[in-house]
Amino acid sequence: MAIEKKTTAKESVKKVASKIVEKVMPKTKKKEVAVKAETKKKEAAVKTETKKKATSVKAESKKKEAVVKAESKKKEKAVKAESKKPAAVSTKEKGTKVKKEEPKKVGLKKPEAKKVETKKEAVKKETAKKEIVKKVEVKKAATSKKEEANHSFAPEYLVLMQKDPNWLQAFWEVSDSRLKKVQAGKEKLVLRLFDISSDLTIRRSKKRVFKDIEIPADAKTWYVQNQNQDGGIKAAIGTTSGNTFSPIIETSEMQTFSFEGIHPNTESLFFKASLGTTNIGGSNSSGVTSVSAESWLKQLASSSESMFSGVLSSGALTSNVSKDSVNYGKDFFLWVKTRLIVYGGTRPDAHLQVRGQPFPLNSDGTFSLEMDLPDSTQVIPVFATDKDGDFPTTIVPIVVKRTE
Amino acid sequence: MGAPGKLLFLLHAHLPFVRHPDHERFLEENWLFEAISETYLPLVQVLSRLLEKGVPGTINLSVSPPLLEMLSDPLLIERYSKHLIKQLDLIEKELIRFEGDPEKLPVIRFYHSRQKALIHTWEQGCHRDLLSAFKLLEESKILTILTCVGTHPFLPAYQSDPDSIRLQLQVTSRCYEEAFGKKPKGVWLPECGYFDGLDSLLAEYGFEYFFLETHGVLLANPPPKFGVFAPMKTPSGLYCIGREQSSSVEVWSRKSGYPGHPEYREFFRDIAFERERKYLGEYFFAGETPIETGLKYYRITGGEQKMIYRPWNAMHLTEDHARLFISNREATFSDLLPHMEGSNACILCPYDAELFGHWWFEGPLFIEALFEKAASSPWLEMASVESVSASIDDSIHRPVFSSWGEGGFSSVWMNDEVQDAYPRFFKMKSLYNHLRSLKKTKRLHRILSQMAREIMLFQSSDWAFMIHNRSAEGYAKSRLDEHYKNVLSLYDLALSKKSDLEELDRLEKKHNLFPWIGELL
Repeated sequence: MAIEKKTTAKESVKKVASKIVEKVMPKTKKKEVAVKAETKKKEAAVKTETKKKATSVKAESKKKEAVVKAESKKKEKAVKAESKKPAAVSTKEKGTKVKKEEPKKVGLKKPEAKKVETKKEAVKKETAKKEIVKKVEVKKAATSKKEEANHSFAPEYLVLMQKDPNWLQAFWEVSDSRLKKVQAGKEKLVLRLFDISSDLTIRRSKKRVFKDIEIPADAKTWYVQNQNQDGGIKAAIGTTSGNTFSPIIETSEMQTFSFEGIHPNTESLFFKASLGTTNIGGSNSSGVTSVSAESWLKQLASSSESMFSGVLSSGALTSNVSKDSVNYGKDFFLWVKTRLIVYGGTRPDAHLQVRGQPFPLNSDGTFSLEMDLPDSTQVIPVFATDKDGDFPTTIVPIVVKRTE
Repeated sequence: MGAPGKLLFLLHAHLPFVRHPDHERFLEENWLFEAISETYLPLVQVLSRLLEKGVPGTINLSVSPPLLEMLSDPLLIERYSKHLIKQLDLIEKELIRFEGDPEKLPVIRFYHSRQKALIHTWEQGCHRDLLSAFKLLEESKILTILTCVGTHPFLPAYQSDPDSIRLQLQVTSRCYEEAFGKKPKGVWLPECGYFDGLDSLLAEYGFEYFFLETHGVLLANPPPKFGVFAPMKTPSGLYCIGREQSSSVEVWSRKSGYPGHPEYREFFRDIAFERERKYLGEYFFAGETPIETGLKYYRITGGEQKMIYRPWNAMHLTEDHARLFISNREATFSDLLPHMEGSNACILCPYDAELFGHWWFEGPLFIEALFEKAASSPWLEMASVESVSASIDDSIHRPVFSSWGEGGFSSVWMNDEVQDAYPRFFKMKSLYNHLRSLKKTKRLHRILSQMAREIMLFQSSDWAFMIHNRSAEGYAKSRLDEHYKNVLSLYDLALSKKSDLEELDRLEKKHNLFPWIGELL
């Protein structure tokens, strides 16, 4: 017989601030980068307008406020990649004997920063969400191109990174001379994504399932929606001419994660308990608002703008053999159940917690909790302080119930 | 045997490698000094007292390789020893300054006693060697020492470069072995960052278990029967345990967590920001910026008007909070154990070690009280993470891509604020690989070794974290730039025919961690 608790997992999952696509450009270029929501294109479209003073960067917003949310399940995020190399930050601070940091912030990492955001940060993020267009100015790179140009060896790489369950980012560096050949000919430059199945019978014909995204020669990065259910993926940049693909550079194979096909049993006692979202006393208990396991999962999925649509299965643990009922068919029956009432009182303005979760008080300071009481030992810590947090007091009723 | 509920209290101790021998005093080196004085030494004191009292139980501590290196670095040890004396001198000045002040004097006297005890523990108790102290505590079974990956890289960012992960893992293992004379079994993944297949890399280097954020376990394929309340076996034969949320919230939450109680010490009211420069002395200044002294006289209070700290009231409160923490875990165990088919249950409670003492000043006393409360519990015991290995079910589960922190995936460490960091990393790796393809000479090998150190330091997740949270952001950016520039300059040096290796000498002296790294390349 599953015992349920109603609790609130306030910190279980934090919302992620919207990811606004920011592009960084050297200050001296005096270019503006505009990021706009792109709603209609199925594949990422990259256009870099290096000759214009203003470069437009269009992107499909990765977050909830993106207009495309509802209709974009199968659409790709479109990014107009900026062709300039990313500018590094200023190194003005370097070489100084001492550093000038905000005095109060100097020190070790803040403890709550991983899971808790301050009001200021929340406001800042909220503001950021509203900004679809964001301009960024960054001081010119300390390590100049001149410095890098001294190297005779030109580093080349293509990297695919999973940012979250829905999005991958590809970025690369390929020598200009190789790309110029592409520009001179009629071949198209493409980012090809191979779906590498983990099924060995399909792997024999690996690389056969793919999709191409046409990219301009001066693009350096691309966002790709993760639609790869099976998990295995590999990317290459190359040229296409008719049915011929000539790879220039490629990644190794990697596994990705998406919410497709994930069907956890969110009704399981252990799933809920892992999140701290079991219910105290079932539906009759009073007052405690709870984040359900299902909503946690949806929140987690939406925090990365997932298109999660999996069916949440349900199923409770099988009950233990019960001694509390006897049934002789239609001739006779008897069942005996027990309920547990925990009640008490404190000052009306006190703070109360039951089993680690805030619990509401009635206007006169009393409280009451009623729950089923199966054969078990119930430990119910009740903790209270006054309105200022003083007089911390814990009382722990322990109830052992046995049926014979 | 013991109690059926295993409370796996795990502290993750890590600081980025900060060492500036070229400056007599450097602001960010104070991070290490604060952590030693407020967390690591108090932890040694607490565990030693518990041993003396015969209180049973074990706490788990992962110590990252950069921290291992810093805690055994002669320069930093010498500087820290001096730091303790400078603090004591300042406290003694404060005793005179506030003589007759009925409110502040008791607090200053408290700091005076505490400082003398710290100096005693550091000099006579540990002989300036914290790692040996940890080792002794482990031999007494009150501590289990784990490790953490290399320079603390956020591993999902390097999924496409398994060789860089392999080097980090090799360094992890070697560093632990150098410090503790044995191979590590358990490893903390930086930021709990995991991607599908990482367990096979961990297995290559002999690791046996690791830890994940809650959903890394709950969404595993197939999902584990007991959620995060039992260890889970992965395809490579390792086991992992997921974080339980309630116990996290009770401590981490800014709103309702224990450390935010009005009675506890206020973190942000250091006297460094309240005293005149001449009085404090140059040691507590970095340029125009005061450096924290560690002396804080106020309690959180609950409003802007702070009231004077009452150390003994706060100490008493840690006992209440420990009792509550243990009772809440007992409640969970009593709920779940009847459904676990006779198996033991475990609850993994991981925290940054520096939370206890540095951020939450009274945290080490809370830990001491936890041991004492748990000792009398019929439901649970403070247990080593290695104690649950016997109860692992043979079924195999594939954990999923996950991390702790905002959003649960990678947004803190892989975002637009650090968008240039990863391309720079892969550029450095290309240069490094190019040099590795050249004919080996002693000179080249030496340069490659330093390049490896610089690249690994660049990979530390701390920089992205600081930039994302606007905390010491300027320093984080300057470190990224510095390591990048160093790699480019070493690459140039390798290709040149310069016989003058002055720059290489300088870098080897400054970023001197992992002196044996050349043997791994």
